[in-house]
Formats: sequence, C-alpha cells, structure tokens
Amino acid sequence: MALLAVENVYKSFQGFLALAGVSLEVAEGSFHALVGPNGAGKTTLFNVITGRFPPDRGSVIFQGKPITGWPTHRVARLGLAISFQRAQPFASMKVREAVTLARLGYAGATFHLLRPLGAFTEALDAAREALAKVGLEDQADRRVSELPLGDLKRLDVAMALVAKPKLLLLDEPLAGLSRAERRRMVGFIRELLRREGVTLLFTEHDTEAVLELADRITVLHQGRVLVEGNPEEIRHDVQVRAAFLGGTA
Amino acid sequence: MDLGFYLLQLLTGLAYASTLFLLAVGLSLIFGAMGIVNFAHGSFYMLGAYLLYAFSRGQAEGFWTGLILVLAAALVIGALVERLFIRPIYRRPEEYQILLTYALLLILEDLVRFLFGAGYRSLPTPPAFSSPLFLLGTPFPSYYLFLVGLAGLSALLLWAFLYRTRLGAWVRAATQDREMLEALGINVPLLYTGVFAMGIALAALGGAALLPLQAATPGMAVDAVIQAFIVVVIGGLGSVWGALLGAVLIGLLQAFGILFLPEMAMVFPFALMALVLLLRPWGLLGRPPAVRT
Amino acid sequence: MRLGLLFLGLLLLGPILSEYGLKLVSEALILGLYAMAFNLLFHQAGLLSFGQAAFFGVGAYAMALLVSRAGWPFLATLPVAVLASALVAFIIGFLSIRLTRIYFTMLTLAFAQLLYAVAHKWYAFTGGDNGITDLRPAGILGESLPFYYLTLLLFALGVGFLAALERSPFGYALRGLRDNRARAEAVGVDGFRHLLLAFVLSGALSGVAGFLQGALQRSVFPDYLFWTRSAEAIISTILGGSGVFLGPAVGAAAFLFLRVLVQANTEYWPFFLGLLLLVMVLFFPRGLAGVWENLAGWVARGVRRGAAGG
Repeated sequence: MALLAVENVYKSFQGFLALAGVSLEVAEGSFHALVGPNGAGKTTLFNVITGRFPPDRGSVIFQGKPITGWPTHRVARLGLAISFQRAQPFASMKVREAVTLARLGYAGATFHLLRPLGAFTEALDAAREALAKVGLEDQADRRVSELPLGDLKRLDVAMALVAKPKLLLLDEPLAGLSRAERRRMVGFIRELLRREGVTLLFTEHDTEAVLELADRITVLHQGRVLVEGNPEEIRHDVQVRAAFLGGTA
Repeated sequence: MDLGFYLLQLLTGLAYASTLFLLAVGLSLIFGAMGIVNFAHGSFYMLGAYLLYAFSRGQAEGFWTGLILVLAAALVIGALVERLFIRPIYRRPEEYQILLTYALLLILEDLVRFLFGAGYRSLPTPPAFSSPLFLLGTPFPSYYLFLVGLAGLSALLLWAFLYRTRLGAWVRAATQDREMLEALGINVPLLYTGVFAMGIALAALGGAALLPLQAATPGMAVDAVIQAFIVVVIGGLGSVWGALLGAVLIGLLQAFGILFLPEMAMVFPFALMALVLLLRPWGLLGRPPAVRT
Repeated sequence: MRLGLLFLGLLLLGPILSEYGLKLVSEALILGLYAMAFNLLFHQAGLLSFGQAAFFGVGAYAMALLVSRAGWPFLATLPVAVLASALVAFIIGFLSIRLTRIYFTMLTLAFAQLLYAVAHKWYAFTGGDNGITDLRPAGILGESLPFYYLTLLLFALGVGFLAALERSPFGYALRGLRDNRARAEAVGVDGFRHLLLAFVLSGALSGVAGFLQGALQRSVFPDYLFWTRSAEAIISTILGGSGVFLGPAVGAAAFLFLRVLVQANTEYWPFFLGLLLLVMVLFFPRGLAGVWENLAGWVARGVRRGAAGG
C-alpha cells in the first residue's frame, strides 16, 4: 500500500485550473520527485496535500486514512512534514527555540502557559538532534534573522525532521543555494533520509539533482500528470524531453 | 398600515443605503487598491457634512455650490493626507498604517469640535426638494429620490471607470500586481494618491448629502466608520458590488427593523454581520481567500 | 528578578505617597495592566485590537452591577468580572479571528462599540448615561492605601503571568503564528485556537483592570466601553514601546503624566492623543524604549569617539 495516495485531484483559482485530475502514489521508503515547468501545479499539489486549501474534487489518503480537507496543523501532526520553498522560519526566535517549538507543535503540546520552553527537555533534546542532523548544532543560539539563506533552508528542514516524519515534503530544496551548498544539500538528503528511513516527496528544477536523488519521478504539466516512471524511463521519454527538459537536457 | 406606508419605509431604507454606499465603497476601493483599511474613513464622511454646512453657510440655497465645493475640497484633502501621512509608511507593517489612520480619527473628531463646536449642525432641505411627492397617496420627501439617484449615478460612474477604462483596470490590479504595474512604467504612488483622494471624496459626498436629513455631530465619525465596516464585511471587503449589496441590506434592515423591534434596531446590522461571518466569512460577494488563513 | 525589584519598590512606595499620589499610582498600575493585556495580542500574537474597551468595560460593569444591584461585597465580584470579560472576549474573538488581521481589527472596534451603545441605551439595566455611582468598596479596601496594595497585587499577578506566558510554549506558538502563520501551522500549531485563547486571556486581564478602575473612580459609566478607552491602551503601548516587555506599563505612566499636564491646559485631549500617536507612528515606532536605545547608542558612540580622539 502506498504511504500517500492522491486521487484525481482538481483545484482551480478564479477560473484558472491549477490541478486537473492529478493522481499520484508515493511508495513507502521511496524518494519521489515531482517535476514540471513553473505553473505546472507542483506547489498547488503540495498545498492540497498539507491542507493549506482543500481540493475542489478528489481525495488525499495518507497511510490509508482519508485526510482530504483537513486543516494544516492536523495533517502535520500525523507525521507529514513539509519544508517550504521560501524558507522563512520564525524570524524573532533563536534557532534552537524555533526547532523546539516545532517539536512541541507536532506533539500538540503548545498549550502550556506557565512552564518555560526551556523546561521541556525531551523537546530540547529532539531539537538538538535535528539540528545536528542538518549540521546546525553550533548555530543553535543564533537568531534566526541573522542566518544566511543556506542555513535558513537547513533550519527549515530541521523543523520538519524534528517531527520524525513518515513523509517529508521538500519544495525546491535547492532553490537559491550556491553550487557548493547544492552539493551539500543533495548529499545530505541522500544519506540522511535513507538512513532515517524517511519517505520523500520533493519538487526541484535542477534536473541533474532530480535524476541523482529520485527513484521515482512524476512529471506534471499544466495541472496534469504527463508521465511517471523511474529516472531511466523519464530520461528517455520523448514527451518529457519535448515538454519539459526541452533543449536543456 | 397600508402598502403606501411600506413603500415609504422602503424608500427611507434606500435613501439611507445610498449614503452608506457612498461611505463604504470608498473604504472598499482604498482597501482593494492599496491594502489599507482606512479607520479615518468615517471622519471624512463627517468632514463632508461639516464642510457643506460651512460652504453653504447653513442656508438651503447654498446646497448645490456647497456640494461641488465639498467634492473639490475632499479631493484635495484626500490627496494631501495620502501624501503627507500614509505614503511615508507604505513599507511598514500594516499595523502601523492602521494606527496612523486611527490617529487621524482621533485628531479629526476634535478638530471638528474645535472649529464648529460640539453641538448639532444642520441644513434645511434644498428648495428644489422642498415639496413632497406622493406615492399611492402617501407623501414622502423628494430628497430621498435625489439620494438614491446620486448613489445610483456614482455606482454607475464608478463601474464605468473601473471596468471600462485602462486607468480603472490598473486600479483593480494595484494590490495583487504592484510589481507588474511598475514594470509597465505606471506611477503606482500617484495611482495610490488618486485612489485615496477618490475614496475620500465619495465618503465626503455621502456625509454632505445626508446633512439635510440628519444633523452633523463630532461623534458621527466613529459610528459611520463602523457602519461602513459592517457594510463591507457583509458585502465583501474590496468589492464594489459587495458595498452596494451590503449598503442596501443594512439600509432596509434599519428601515424595517425599527418598525417591528425598535429597541433592537441598533443590534440588527451587527447580528447580520455576525451571521455572514459565521456562514461566509469573506462576505456575500467577496472572494474566498486562496490560502486558508 | 528585575520584576521582583520593581514590585518591591512599588510596595515600599505605598506608605510615603499622599492620597493623591496613591490614587495616581494606582491608576497608572491599572492602565499599565490594561496596556500589557493589549500588548499580549499586539506584540506576541501580531493582532491589533481596537476593542479592548469592551473587556475593560465588562469587567467594570460586572463589578458595579453586582455591588450596587445585588449587594455583593466588592472582592467577591472579581471572579465574576474575570469570567464575564473572558466570556465576552470568547464570543467576539470567535467571530473576529476567523479571517485576516485586518478583519480582526475592524471587527473588534465594531463589537466594542456595540457594547457601548447597549450600555448607553439600556437604562433599566445599566443606568445609561447616569452610570452606576457610589461604588466605594466596603471595609478597608475603601481606603487608599489598602486599595493601592490590592491594585499592586493584581498588577503583579497579571504581569507575572504575562512574563511566564511569554517564555512558555504557548507564548512561542503565538510568536510563531505572528512571524509566519503558514509555517507555524505546518509544524502542527492550531492557529485559530491559540489566537482565540490569547484573546480570551487578554480580555480577562483587561476585565481585571476595569474592575479596579471602577472601584478606584467609585463609579462606572458607558465611556468605560467607548472606543477612546481602547485608544488609551493602544497609545500607552506605542508610547512605551511594544517590543519591550514592560514598555506598555511605562507608557501608561507617561500617558497619565501627560494627561495631567495637558488636561490642565486644554479640553482637546483626544486631539493631543491623536497627534501623539501620529508622531510616534511616523517617527518613533519603537516607542520610548526605542528613543532610549537610540540615545544610549549615540552616547556610547560619542564616548568611544571621544576616547579614540583622546
């Protein structure tokens, strides 16, 4: 059984059809890439999955449980974590505090009014561990607002990892990063997530990175699934070369 | 009570709705284009009433010239307020923009008290409307018809401007696509000044037009802005047609509510607003937010 | 620690103050608590409430009605005042927090003015314009010094609670929602419920302030619910600096000082308030705290330059 199944999802905005019947299955343990040109509907699909808005039609099923139209915070608490394309973690906090808050948030444990955050040792330990995984442990006491973009992205990933998610959604994890940072992030995703046994669904424009990381690729085009397959099949698919990879591949 | 009586009540409600529309549509327009809710909007409505009183020297004969002078003065005042106070803080968080208009609400109320005194200021019905008309044998003030006509004409002109001119299309695009407008070489700050002045002028016109029916007091500003909020929340913030629908609903609710439950009439608009918020929070004609907030 | 010193200082101040001084400092503490309650929403949660007067007034009226109509002892009305203002905050919040922040600000103003209009018109229940008078608490709380200590106690409890809240997971969740609501919800924080609870807590604390103010003034009038009463909390906060924990309380003291000064000379107090707010927003958005930091910065740079020159 697939960990996540998206079935025939439609979503339109003011007459513009962003998703026109998308179906998708993400197998447990796989690294599944979602590719396609800008406006293909990738981010919209992520937003439907995470409950930022409900689909007009169709359903989202996670671990066999229908979660269509659930609000974001409830989806997150099931172990479906996301890191955003534009990483803007909580700017007024310290790095450690942002990740600790995330941990308590996933656990639904933020309705403590009198005990200080610093007294939640289990969450602090989990935060330290997540920061160590992304290599930010030495930045734990810095202000989030002082971090460079590469570190912000890693922090945002740590805020997802601290949930010990079953499924991790990464929306363009490499966007805006330098060449060196890209290499580092790719290596990090491959090694860390494999070791942790996290299932990954990600979008990315960097074709090379997609072919290197993914074991399954779905190509979206104009709100529809154009083709799906393993990296070999996709690399040689004529349709994809024409519509998406174009002259660049 | 016969049919004529109900028709009279209907017309009273529509007359009130007309001034409400002029008040609320400017609020909605400014929000739609600039993303700012102008908490001093009711103050300009009040200012319109006081200015008409000043320009006409309290004489009914001075009504027409007074009304035109109010429009001109309001355009100038609106442009100045936008330039002097609102433009410097466009880039600040929206709370500060709201606080600034809130400061204007405090200042203008006392300024009017200082200039005109705390008492009532009123104007007799202009001579052209001094004799009543008859509807199924019931007399009603012909001035009501003028109000409805004024609001109808304003709505029509506004529609033509927003949907039939290029400038209007830019105004409609200003909030979402500010960068695009700038890329096209459009002077967005000037556009903002224009929209703000236009919204203020509409509010002032509404306040002035109400003066022959209802005396002006310094306290009317905050009541007016709250009525405008109720109208735009019901109709949908940012929507011109929403402002029209909301104004008519509130006008009629007031006119008929007062017949059946006079003690509760004041509460009806709030109750309707609460109902809309529960069932369709973005308003009857508003757009649901693209992203859940 | 620093809070403890402040409370201790205020405790020792009591016996040396005159009648008038006690009344003034009591009022500053009450306004300070009220402004801090407002700032819980404004600074922590990023919600600008223009309707705090609703809860301030409900707290005051709950006390006044129970004391004058039902003959309750003054202190016994405190729990009712807290519950009543919390309940009203729950209802208004439930309707106002559902949409954007702009809607929130508009709706809080509108609902608070509705309560004002009701208190104003409902003569049989509230006494309308005549208000409810002769509310001197029976026993020693009717005297200035014991009342000052009661005020100080409630102020200290309220401020201590807010200080704890700021460092708690709940406080961090509010800041997370303010900084980036989408991110906060994606880590499992339920935005609506957190903001609603913050609103209810802020309302309850405002109700405590109203309860005290009614007793201090010995009377309650509809203007306790009027929108300019909300403005007092807002302007105190902006004046003191919303970004500093005690900023609103310091701003409240400065606000009362200015009021004594200005009202002796002119009746146009709201005009002055508006002007003050305008100037603060345009030029000193970080309040007195910001002015202070700037001054300190200039002095420090001056000293360093002087030292380097010498």
